[in-house]
Amino acid sequence: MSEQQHSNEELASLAPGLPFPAPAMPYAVPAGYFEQLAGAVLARIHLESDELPPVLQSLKEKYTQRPGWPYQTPAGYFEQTPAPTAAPIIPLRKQSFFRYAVAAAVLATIFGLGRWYQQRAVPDIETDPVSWVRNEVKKESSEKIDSYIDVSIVEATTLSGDHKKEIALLTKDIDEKEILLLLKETDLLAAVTSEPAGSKKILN
Amino acid sequence: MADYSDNEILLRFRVPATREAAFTDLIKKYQERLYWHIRRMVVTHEDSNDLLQNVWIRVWNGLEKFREESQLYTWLYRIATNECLSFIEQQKRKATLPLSDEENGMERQLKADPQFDAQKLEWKLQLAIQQLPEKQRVVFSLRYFDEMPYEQMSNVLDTSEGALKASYHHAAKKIERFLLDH
Repeated sequence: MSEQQHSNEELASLAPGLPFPAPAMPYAVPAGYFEQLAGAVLARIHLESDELPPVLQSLKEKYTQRPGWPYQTPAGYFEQTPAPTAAPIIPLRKQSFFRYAVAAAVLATIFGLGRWYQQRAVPDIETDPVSWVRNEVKKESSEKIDSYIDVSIVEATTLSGDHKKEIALLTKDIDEKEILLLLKETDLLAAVTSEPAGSKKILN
Repeated sequence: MADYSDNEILLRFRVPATREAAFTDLIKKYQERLYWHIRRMVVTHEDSNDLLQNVWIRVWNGLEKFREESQLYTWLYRIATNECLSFIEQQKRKATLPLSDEENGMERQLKADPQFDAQKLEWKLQLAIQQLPEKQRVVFSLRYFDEMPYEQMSNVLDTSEGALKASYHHAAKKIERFLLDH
């Protein structure tokens, strides 16, 4: 018994009110739909997949078999071409160290030249008298400077006539012993006693 | 077009040079059956066309791994049925309407067809089918229109033959009652 007969008998016993065989579908389908469906489906498959269209696929296969196809090279071209020599590889770290070393040397040279120029320059007595004096003092020997200082002190303690009167007035009521004691304490006595004879008048 | 058997189509599909020709033959062989199966479920041509194209794309992607222990056409029906049920489920979620309202939506679409004639038996029958829950609709459609044996339906729907018979009997009774009442 065919499946159609089975189905018919089953339906006849189940629901005799149902028509059998099934009536035709009442829905309409656009004209030519079934003729175009396969093409539409294949177009969607090509669009959605990574697969190449058949023409491009066959060209790709040819290229895989013969790299460079369709171009050609002269016979034995790749055998004649000398193997390229490897270019020396300069490590990046070494190169940067070299750069730093050059930069440091340049800076040191600039700094050294600056210092040398600064030391070499003679200070001007008008604009920078302190530096001028320092510079001049450096030129003289220490013995000459010492003798100059001694003479200066003696000269400083040798008073003129006006000052003598003033001092005599100030020391009028002071005992001579007290003055000598003070001079001893301040080490000026030796300087006074070693001065020329005329200068002792200070104490009188 | 040469009338190839399913096995011949499968063999030709596995050869890259004849793959597309074999697939075209497969579409031409089964397109109408699958189209009407889908259309009975979703009513409009636009939805049916979208779903049918999706079915064929799934077939293209899976045919290489197709296990020949099951029949090719039951596998095709299985894919088409799953596609329909997923679509109906999506429509329900989009509509956020109760089940009964959704079914009325299908009925509205049916009545909106320019060819619709409530007096004609074939239209009444389609209207009656739309009253069924979607799984019962599939069972009734496969058995009544496609005359598919229960054994094959069992493969398509992954349900026991007994359950399918019971479902079909229920559906047939409901539709008979609808036709008598309208």
